[in-house]
Amino acid sequence: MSKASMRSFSISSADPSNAIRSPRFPVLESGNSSFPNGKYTVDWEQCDDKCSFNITHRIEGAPLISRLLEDNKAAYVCTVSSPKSSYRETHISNSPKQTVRWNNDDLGESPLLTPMIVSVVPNKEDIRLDAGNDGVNMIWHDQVITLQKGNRLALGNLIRFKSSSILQLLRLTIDEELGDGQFSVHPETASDFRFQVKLDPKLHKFLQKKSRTRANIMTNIVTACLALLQRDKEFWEDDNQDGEGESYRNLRIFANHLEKNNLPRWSDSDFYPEVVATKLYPHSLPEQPDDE
Amino acid sequence: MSDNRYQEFEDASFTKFRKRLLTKQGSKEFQQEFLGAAQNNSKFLDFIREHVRIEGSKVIDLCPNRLTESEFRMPPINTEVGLYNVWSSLTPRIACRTTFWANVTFRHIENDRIQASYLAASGKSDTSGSRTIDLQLRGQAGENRDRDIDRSVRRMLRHLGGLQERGNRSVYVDCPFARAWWREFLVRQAVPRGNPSLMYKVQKLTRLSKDYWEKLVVLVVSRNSVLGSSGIRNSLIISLAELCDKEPDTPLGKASGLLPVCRAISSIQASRELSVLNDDELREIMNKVVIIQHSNLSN
Repeated sequence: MSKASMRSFSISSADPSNAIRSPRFPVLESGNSSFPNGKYTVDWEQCDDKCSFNITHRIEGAPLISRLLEDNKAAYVCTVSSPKSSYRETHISNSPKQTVRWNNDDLGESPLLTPMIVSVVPNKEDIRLDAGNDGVNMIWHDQVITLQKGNRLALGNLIRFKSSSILQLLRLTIDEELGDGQFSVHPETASDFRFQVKLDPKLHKFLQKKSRTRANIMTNIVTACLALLQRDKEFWEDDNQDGEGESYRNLRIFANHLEKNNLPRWSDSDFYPEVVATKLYPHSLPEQPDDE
Repeated sequence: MSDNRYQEFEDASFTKFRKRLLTKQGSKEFQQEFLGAAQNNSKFLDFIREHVRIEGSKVIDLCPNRLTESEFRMPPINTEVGLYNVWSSLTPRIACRTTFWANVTFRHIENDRIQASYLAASGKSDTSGSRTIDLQLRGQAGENRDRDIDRSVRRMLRHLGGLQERGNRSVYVDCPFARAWWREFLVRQAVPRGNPSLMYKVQKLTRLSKDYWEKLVVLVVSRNSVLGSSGIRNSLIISLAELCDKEPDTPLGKASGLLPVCRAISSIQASRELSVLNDDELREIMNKVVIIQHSNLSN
């Protein structure tokens, strides 16, 4: 497992959140001030077998949750889901280091993972909270809460297999009929949205190794993909011609990525594929000797 | 492409084909051509072959008998169970793909088990698919005709393999062969072996109406859906099946009754990860929710 593949997120009460919940017990989650100094960190990495994840949960500044974990009254949990194939499985662990596996035959798309800490008390349990000992907000001080099996005590971010990079949406394939140096791009939609990039065999082989030229060719391919999105924009929109459609998850993530980078979306009038592509992946030029 | 992959429509060419049929600009003639081809099996097959590549080599057995139009549109329980038994080795990964089911339906036409025109038949009308196509192609040119043809084309694509553009639910709901598989798959997930009486009740529940099945599926395949977890789903389905068996007129036997049940479960799930509960604990909660909602809606 390479260190480079390790990724991480932390949740604290100061994080913004749109969730409107008022649980009857303190929860360590974004936007919830129940644990003012609480921090829930999750490190995760995809294993080489492509059907498992190593996850490490870490709780800081929330003694109540730490104590419940030590007493085996709470457990480390991660759900794996693929709505497309009606799959959602919950993995429970007593150890903060957890390996989550699934069978790829059950998934219709790349899985979504949600880590959390959950109460596993066998029966209901009443706890009188103490702000000093439990690390909870004063608003909870001296309050009696009732914990039930399944209550979420800390809730992490959704982990997606795919990043927001458009390069993750490309599937490079060989097309023997294409001439030297030629390629074409085609949309695929059966398991979320992807671009099939058909390449002449030599070009396909060339792109297997990293190089400056490869990076520039990829920018060229991305330009073609963005042009395809723009050309058929009405077909990929949320409310498409069928009137009942759902947008593709991958495209939603990519659209958010464009927005975060202050770049226009493919349906916008100021969207120019080559401009967006070279802003995301600028051409890399070889150093040239000064003219002078 | 490895040879042991299930045979299916190639994703890129099938997407391009659908896009050509479904986008507004310049699709009218292509739509009419597609609809007209469905009047004749071999023309229809050629039309598809001309535009869509087929990849993979592993094929599944076909329905052993020729199906009538009504059997295809709304197969009886024993036909659906029979189809599932033939296709029981399929995995959810492949069974949720419109490209796979489109090829299955295509092969049923190729092998004369169904007629291509069946794809155009509307479930709401007694008019056959062939008659529907005939009436629409001969209709007076104009906006109404264009709209009717457009609807038929969409219906045909839905029946062929499900329409990806409708979202995850389409393959579960719209394609009769896929629907048969998913219904029975969910039934067998919910009911332990050796309980035929409960299995029959659950089979009946999942076939109360097309609308009921669709609402149930939407709850299962939506993002963030509580019913995505098989344990929660199974417990709820069993509780509903028991109730509908005892109280055939319960409002929970109607599609509109499913929403309040799901809302009640969602409100519990909002603070409680129900999927960590064991089967008995889940059954207790689901029974309570179902009884309370039945009583609320019955009054």
